[in-house]
Amino acid sequence: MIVVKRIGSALVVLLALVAVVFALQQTSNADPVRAKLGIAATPELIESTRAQLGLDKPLPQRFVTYLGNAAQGDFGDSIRTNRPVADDLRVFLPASIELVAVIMMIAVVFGLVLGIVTARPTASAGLVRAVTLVSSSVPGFLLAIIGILLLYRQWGILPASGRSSFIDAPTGPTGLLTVDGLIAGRSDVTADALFHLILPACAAALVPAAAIARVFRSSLIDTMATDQIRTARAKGMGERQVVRRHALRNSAGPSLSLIGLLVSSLFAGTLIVEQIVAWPGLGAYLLRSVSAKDYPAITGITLVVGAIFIVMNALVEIVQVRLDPRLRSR
Amino acid sequence: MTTIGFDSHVEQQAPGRLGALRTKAGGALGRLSWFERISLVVVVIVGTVALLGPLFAPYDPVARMADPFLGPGGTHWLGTDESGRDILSRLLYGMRSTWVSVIVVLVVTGTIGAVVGTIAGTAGGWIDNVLMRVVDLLLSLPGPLIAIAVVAALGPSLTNTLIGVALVWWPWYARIVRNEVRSIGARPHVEAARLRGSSGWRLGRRHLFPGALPPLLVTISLDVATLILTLTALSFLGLGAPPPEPELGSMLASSVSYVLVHPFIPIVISVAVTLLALAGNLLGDLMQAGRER
Repeated sequence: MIVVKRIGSALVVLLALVAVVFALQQTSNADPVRAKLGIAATPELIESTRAQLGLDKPLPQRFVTYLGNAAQGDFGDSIRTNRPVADDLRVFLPASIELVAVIMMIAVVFGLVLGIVTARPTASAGLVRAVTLVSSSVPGFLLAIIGILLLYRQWGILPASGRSSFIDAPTGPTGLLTVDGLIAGRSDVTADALFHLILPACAAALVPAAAIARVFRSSLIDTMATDQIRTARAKGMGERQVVRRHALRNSAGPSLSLIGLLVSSLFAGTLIVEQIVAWPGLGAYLLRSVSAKDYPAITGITLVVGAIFIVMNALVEIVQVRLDPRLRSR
Repeated sequence: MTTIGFDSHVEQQAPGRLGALRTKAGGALGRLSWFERISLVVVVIVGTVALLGPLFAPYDPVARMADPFLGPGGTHWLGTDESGRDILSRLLYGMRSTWVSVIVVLVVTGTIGAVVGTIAGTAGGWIDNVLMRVVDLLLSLPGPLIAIAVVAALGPSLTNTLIGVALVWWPWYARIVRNEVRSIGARPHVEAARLRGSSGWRLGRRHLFPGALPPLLVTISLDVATLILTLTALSFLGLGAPPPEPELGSMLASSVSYVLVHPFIPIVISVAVTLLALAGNLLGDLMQAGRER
């Protein structure tokens, strides 16, 4: 039941996302016809192109068309590359998804460990505070720059840029090099891709890890003060067991919501890190689209990443209900 | 946390609205731990430098002053950039631009959030329902992306960046104020005010919102660092003030391409952003600690 409800509200939010983007497109001063034809176009040509693009139809009808196209993954043609935005996204999106996924894994592991360590009653409050404050203040791009200088230029341990050293790296079927390498039986490609991922992923993971740690710490402390933990202790359970069997699971909720919410800010936060290591991802595509005033490309990115964000958050909520039966009654 | 210089008579002063705030501020200052005193000093120094930076700037931030890529030292303390502009001066101007933007966005969105939240919380019923549905919807959208799309649609400029960010930033504050106002609405002093015939906007402004203000301020202060990083990212994308205007994000963007040749420049810019973010986080931490006491 809750699943159906959640999917329903996710659909409403998706609809709102498309509506917002459509409204923005209407207010933007970028004229798609002019952009397509250039300045030298004749009035007749402009008129016929407008009709061809459906721009002479009334607004509600255009919105329905736009919605239908977006639902089918058609975001129009990029002004800069003259190719369908969807095709461009197919090239750039997997690289970013791979990076963000690895960042998330590192951030979650690091954040949970940090949360558990700092939630211990023996942890020095001042030290915890200082570590959390500093780690949530150092932006990923500073770490990425330092990482490149030390690990690449100074010691030559890690590659400086890109996501692969292979020219013949497999390009399908998922677009995720680590996975594609395994599918194609090229473990060297996978290993190399992981090698490229380490630096940008670790750099960009610190700030989200600090956020996860902060939230997880406070919910863990709350859980440890509940009656069920007292009961578990009273029946002679060891402290490790208490934490592992009872506290962790019941403290996961707020951190899970945060992980869902981090997806969109992570995308913005990773943008600069991506540029530093010349990651061929959405950041690079967005940067070029912005400087070329390529509005269809920008809205395409907004729609796709926005949809991923909305679906992720719906999934997170469903997982939360699975983990915590108390939420089912709501 | 140890309490230093606890001043008991301060606590007993008459609880007038402004008086209470002042007492709290005075009492809190006396009770700061060493850690908090240091962070207060950092916040004040970074905040002042960021605000008054241009006064200390030795050179014109947009004019070519010397050869490009001069190293740090000599007459240009932090060296010069790819166009021979003084990096220290550009940083000081850029930090002020970011800091002022942060203040503007937070004041504007805090005010919108306060007004919408107070209206929803005070009115209740369908007004509350409609407003909070809108807020929920906006909160479910990916904020940073929408901001990027808004600025791209309006055209890149500092003003449009502030508009774009403000549009996605206020709903969270409205939600917090509304929830606080709802819970305060059930308290006896508000009941008394209602019996006295106070209602509507007056009730909200005089009796409900003041209670929601402290949590709102804490939330706002905790957002400073995130906002700094968001503004930097937008400017990095080229959505802020057009070049050669000194902005931290765009400076970072142009310096990233030669990170291996002249690493000092992107590092010093990143450090400036980090300092601002750290000051923001320290401020948030101070406010939160002050409220928890």
